[in-house]
Amino acid sequence: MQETIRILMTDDHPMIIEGYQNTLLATKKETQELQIDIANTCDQSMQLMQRSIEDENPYDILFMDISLPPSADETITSGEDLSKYAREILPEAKIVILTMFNEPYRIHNIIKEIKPEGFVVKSDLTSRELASAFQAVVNNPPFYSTTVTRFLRTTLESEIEIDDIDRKILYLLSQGVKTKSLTNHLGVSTSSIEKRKKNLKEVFSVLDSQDETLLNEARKKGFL
Amino acid sequence: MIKSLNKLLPLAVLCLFTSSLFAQNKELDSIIALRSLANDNNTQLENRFKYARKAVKMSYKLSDSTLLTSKRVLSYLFLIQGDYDSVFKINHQNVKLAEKVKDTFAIANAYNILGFYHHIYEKHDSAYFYYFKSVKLFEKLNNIKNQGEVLANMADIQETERDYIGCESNAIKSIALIEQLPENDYNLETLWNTHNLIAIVAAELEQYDRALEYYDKTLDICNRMQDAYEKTLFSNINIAALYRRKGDFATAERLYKKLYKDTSILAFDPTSYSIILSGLAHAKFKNNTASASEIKELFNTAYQISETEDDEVGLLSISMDMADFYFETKNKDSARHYVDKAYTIGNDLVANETILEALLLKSKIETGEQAEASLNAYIKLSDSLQKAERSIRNKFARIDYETDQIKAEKERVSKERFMFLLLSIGLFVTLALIYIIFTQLSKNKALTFKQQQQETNEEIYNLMLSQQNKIDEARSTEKRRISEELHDGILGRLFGTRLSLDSLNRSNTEEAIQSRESYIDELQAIEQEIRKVSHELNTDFISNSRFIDIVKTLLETQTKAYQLEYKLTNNDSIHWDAITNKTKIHIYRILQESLQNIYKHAKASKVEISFSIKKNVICLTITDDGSGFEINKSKKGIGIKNITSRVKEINGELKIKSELSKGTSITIKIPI
Repeated sequence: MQETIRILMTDDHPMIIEGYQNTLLATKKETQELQIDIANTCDQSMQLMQRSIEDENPYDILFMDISLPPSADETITSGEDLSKYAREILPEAKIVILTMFNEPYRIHNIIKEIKPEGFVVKSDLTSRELASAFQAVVNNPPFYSTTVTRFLRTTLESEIEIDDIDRKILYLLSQGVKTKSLTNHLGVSTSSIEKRKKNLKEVFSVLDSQDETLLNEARKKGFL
Repeated sequence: MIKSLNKLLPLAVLCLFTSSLFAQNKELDSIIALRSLANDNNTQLENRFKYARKAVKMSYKLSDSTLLTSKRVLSYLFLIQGDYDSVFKINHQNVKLAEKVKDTFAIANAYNILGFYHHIYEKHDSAYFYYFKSVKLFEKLNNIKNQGEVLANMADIQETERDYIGCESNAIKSIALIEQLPENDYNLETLWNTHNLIAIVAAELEQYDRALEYYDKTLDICNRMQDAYEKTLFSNINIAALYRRKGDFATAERLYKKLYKDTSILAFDPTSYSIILSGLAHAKFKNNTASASEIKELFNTAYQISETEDDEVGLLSISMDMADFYFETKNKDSARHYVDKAYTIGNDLVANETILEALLLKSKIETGEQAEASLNAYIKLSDSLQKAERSIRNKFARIDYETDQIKAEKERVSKERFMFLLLSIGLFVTLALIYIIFTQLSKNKALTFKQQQQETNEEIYNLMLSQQNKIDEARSTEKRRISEELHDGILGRLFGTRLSLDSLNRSNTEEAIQSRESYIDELQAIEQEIRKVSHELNTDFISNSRFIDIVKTLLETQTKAYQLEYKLTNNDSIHWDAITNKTKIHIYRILQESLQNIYKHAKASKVEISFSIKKNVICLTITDDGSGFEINKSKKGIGIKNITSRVKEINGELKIKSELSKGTSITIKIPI
């Protein structure tokens, strides 16, 4: 039985899409027929999604890059936004995130926000892995690549439980943002940030008051 | 009228307290020992002088007060010896010393001795002057004894100089003081003297009752004395003489007779006895109680005694009495003989009173022109005497007044001195304040100037810093750009290519080979891309530009304001970053100053600035096409001075070339 799979690949690098195409076409099963559409921008991607609904031929799988140039109206600034949009209009479609980002915070966020059927960090990716990822998503989602899996495992294994704001604080601190400026990024008062930092230090058993030590510890435990 | 001799009692006091000083050191001990030896009445005078002189000599090494005390001992010895000139000299020194050590008692004492010295030599005005000073000081010290005695001496002088009122006043003062003292022969003798003086004065003023009253008092005093023989005798003679003078010859005769009978007087005091004889003779003659021969005999005996005793005073009065007697008994020749005798002795003794009497008598004895001449001489002498009396009286009054005046003057002078001192202090303080204010002002000025300099330097420094910030920002933007380019562009393409090659890896079809070839080309393209990024990283697009940027901004704004055209030539091989900020700041200021100068003075339209470097020496040339100036003639303006000092600061070398109406060129060489 011939199976037609409609795919939308969104990436601003044509070379990458070409790579995906080459790999998928070379490794697809005999029974599978792939219809691949390509979008290089957010706007293009959204148009194609819309059209597939209008044509009553919605996409089955969406390959999404995370860093994308923003849409013309600037409502969609990344693959994350685009994925959320896709979830709304194409609830049946399976989303595969392919990204260069490999920081645990971003990974955590993406999983939390989008719950993608596939999540591959580009540096992990070989054609074989992509092929197996594709097959896994089609048949038995989800598929997470090595880096993602490792991250999930460390956070699951560790007894440390911190909420999203704590994660963001850690992330921003690691980006070199000063504690004073954190309020602007988080919309939380300085005193509550201080409280959270104190709590974080306790959680990560950091004895001194240096942020550096806290960050090192968080990194060790896989939160950064 | 017989007066007693003056006495100098303070000397006794002096001897008492020299030995009461307590010793401070060995030298002082020996000085004190020498002094007490010098004061020892039992020692020979010659040796006492030796001790005193030695004490004075040693005292020179010690304090002024020690020296003063020693000198006073010596002064006492001079007095005893009768060496009055030395007394005079040493006491003048003592006055000075005493004034120096502010020993009022010693000053008063020295003045007293000086008064005594002049008294002895009958320089009565000087004597009075010193006595007066002395008595004032003793009064201040509340020294009753000395005050009273000096006053008695003053009264004595005044009596001699016929200042009767002054004499009486001082004598009464003296009595009032002396009577407060314990009664002894010494003090009683002083009292006797003063009472006697008052009696004499009263007699002179023809107040005979009063005179008698005081003579009686002298007798009272004699009764209180232990040894009063002489004083009693004097009192009795004076009383008898008073009666004679009064014209009560009966009483006079009675009293003289009483004295005449006491022949012990002849043994004890022949001169007094001769006066008694003469007085008795005169009284008898007046009373007509004896024959002329009897009277003559009495007179002659009296005359003989006086002559043998060489008592001129006695001879004088006896001669006058005898002349009177012979004149009355019409024995003109004898009368003339004795009156001439009295006149001669009177002239010798300057006994004006007697001379007058003699002249009057002579005019009566003589006849014709001789009598007239004597009368004229009498009138002349009388007048001159009156004048002299008046002048001496005035003199004493003047001494009193002047001394008070001198005191007032002294006070005034000291007041003036004080005012002057106050004024000078005020002036000094004012000057000091003005000086301080001025120095402070100039200091402030210098500080403000320094601060301004600092501020401008800081300004430039801040300019540089902000430039640095801009550069840092640009650098980080560039970094981000390159990072993004690497991440999004190259990395993505590389990833795509890898993925494609990976997928083509297993097929060996012709198609696949061609495909792979195209990916290999793609790799080459990526290579190119990386090379480009690497090149961009390598060329520091901003290095070497920042100081020149500041200079450019300066030139742009400045030339715009001054409406000048500018051309800047920079040598890229100058590493401005390696040059110290100090140098850069100075270069900046020099440029600023130069542009200002060009604008102010040169009337230029173009200015060229060039930086070049040769062997680690930066050469800055500023050339304008303005009016130029004559370097040698023109005075250096502030602008040029500032530039010179700045060039000096950075060890540079300044050369100015200028040609009239062609322009000026400044070349500055700065070693780095």
